[in-house]
Amino acid sequence: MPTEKLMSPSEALSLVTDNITLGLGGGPLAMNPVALVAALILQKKEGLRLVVAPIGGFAADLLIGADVVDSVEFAQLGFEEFGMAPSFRRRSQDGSLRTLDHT
Amino acid sequence: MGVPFMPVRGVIGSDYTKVRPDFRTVKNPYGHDDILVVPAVSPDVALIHAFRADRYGNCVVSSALDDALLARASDKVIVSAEEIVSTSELTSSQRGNFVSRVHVSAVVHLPGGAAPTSCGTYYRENEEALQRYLAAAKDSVLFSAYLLEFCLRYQHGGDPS
Amino acid sequence: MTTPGFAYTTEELMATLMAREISNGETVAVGTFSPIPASAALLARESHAPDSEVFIMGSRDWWPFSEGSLEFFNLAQRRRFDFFFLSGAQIDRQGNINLQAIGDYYRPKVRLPGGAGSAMLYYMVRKVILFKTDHTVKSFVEKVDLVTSAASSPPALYRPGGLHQVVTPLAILVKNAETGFLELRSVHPGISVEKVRANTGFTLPAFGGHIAESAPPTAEELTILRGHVREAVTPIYPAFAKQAFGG
Repeated sequence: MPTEKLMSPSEALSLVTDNITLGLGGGPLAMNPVALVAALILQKKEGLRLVVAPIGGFAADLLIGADVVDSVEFAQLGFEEFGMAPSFRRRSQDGSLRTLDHT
Repeated sequence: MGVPFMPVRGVIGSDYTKVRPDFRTVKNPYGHDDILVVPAVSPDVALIHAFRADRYGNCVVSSALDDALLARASDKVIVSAEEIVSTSELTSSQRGNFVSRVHVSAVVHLPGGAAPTSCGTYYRENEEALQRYLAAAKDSVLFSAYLLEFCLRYQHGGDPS
Repeated sequence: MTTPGFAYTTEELMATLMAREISNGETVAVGTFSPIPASAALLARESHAPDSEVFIMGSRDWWPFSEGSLEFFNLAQRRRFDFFFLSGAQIDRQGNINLQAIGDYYRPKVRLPGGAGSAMLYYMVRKVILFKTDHTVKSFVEKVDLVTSAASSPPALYRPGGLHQVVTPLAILVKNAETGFLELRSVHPGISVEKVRANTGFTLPAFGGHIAESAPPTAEELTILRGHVREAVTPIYPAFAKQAFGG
C-alpha cells in the first residue's frame, strides 16, 4: 500500500518552519484553509513569505494581521462584496508588509 | 513546472516593471517582439483545503479555483479535508479536481476547516463571522485578543452555522 | 434619475449602455469586483446577443472551467475574449488605470486590492470597457499615481487589444486616436456637460466636436434587468442585487 499520510494538525504543520515561502489555496471567501492557518498562527511562526494563488482574502488576511508574514505575493487580495482585506490594507499602508504585486 | 521563468503577455508599459525588478523584458526568441518573463512561483509549503481525501494524500479540490495548480507548484503540500474516504470512493464520486498523493505530504481531517469561508456544497460563507472579523481587524490592539480567541476556536474546524 | 416614461437606477443605465456595445456572437468575460459588467453581459445575452459566450468570475453558472482561473486567463492570453471590463481607483487622461496604490507604492496612502491580471487583459482583450461607479476629480486624474495597466504600450510589444470606451455614472468617454487622450462622447440624461467637466480632473473636449446624450434603458431592457438578470446576479453579488435594480 502507499505511504499513509493522515496525521494531526500539529504533526502536519511541523513542515512549516520560520522564513519559508508559504502558499495558500482558496479564493477570497471560499475554500480557505482557515483551520490550518489558525493552528499555524498559534505556533507563533515568523518571517513567512506568503504567496496567494492568485486571488485571495480571508486566510491571507488572518496571517498578515497575525504578523506571521513579512511579505505577500498576490494578483489580488480582497473580501469581495465585504470590501478590502483589513490587515492587508493596514500593514501595506504602515510599511510593515512587503507587497509583491503579481500581474 | 521546474523551469525558472515563464513568459506573460502584456504588462510592459505598466509600472509592474518598476515595482517588480525581478520581472524582465526579453526579446521573443521565436518572433520580433518584446515579451515579459516572470520568475517561477514555487512555495516551500502550500496549505490547501479539500472536499475529500484518502489516507495516502489523494484528494479532490475545487475545480473553480487554482488549488490543483498550487499543489503541483509547491515543494510540500498540507491538505485539510472535510472527509476522509477510501481511495475508490474518492475517484468514483469525484466532483472537483483530483490531486495525486504524489504532491501531498500530509492530510489532516478537519471538517469545517474552511469556515468561516465557504466550502462548495458543504457550507456557505458565515457572513456574521466575517463581519466580526472585519470589525476586529480595524484596530491592531483589539485584534490581538480577537485573533487568539479566533484561532483557539477555529483550529479544529469552525462551526459552519 | 427619471426620464419621461421610466425610472431607472444608475447601475441599470450603466449596465444597459455597456450591454449595447456587445454584438451577437462576441465572447464577453467579466472579472472580480464587477457587478455592473456582469449585469451588462447577461442583459446582452438575454436581448440582442443570445449567441454570445459569457464568463463571469465568481459565478457557478457562467464559469465552465475545470482548471480554475488558469484556464480563464489562458483564454484571454490566446485572444479568445472580445470584451473585458476593467476599473481602477484612478483612471487618467490617457486611460491608464491604478488598482494598486494611491500615493507612494512602498508606503501608500491607500492600498487597493491589486491588478488581478489587468496588466495582461488590457493588452490582449480586443475591446476593454473601463468603468467606474464614481466620477469625481479624485478618480479621473491627469496622471495615475501608479500605472497598474497602461492604455498604450511600446510598439515592440504585441498588443492586439485595448480601450473601447469608459462608462461612468455621468458619461461615456472615448479615446481620441490622434491625441491619445480621453474625450467626451455622451452625457447621461439629466446630466449637464458642465457637471461632467467639473467632476473630471483633466480637460475633456467633445469627441468629434459633438456631445450626444446617452440613450436611456428601454422598457424591455429594464424588464430583463429586473427579472432574469437580477436573479442571475444575486448568487454572485447578493448585496449589489438587493439595491441596484429598480422596479
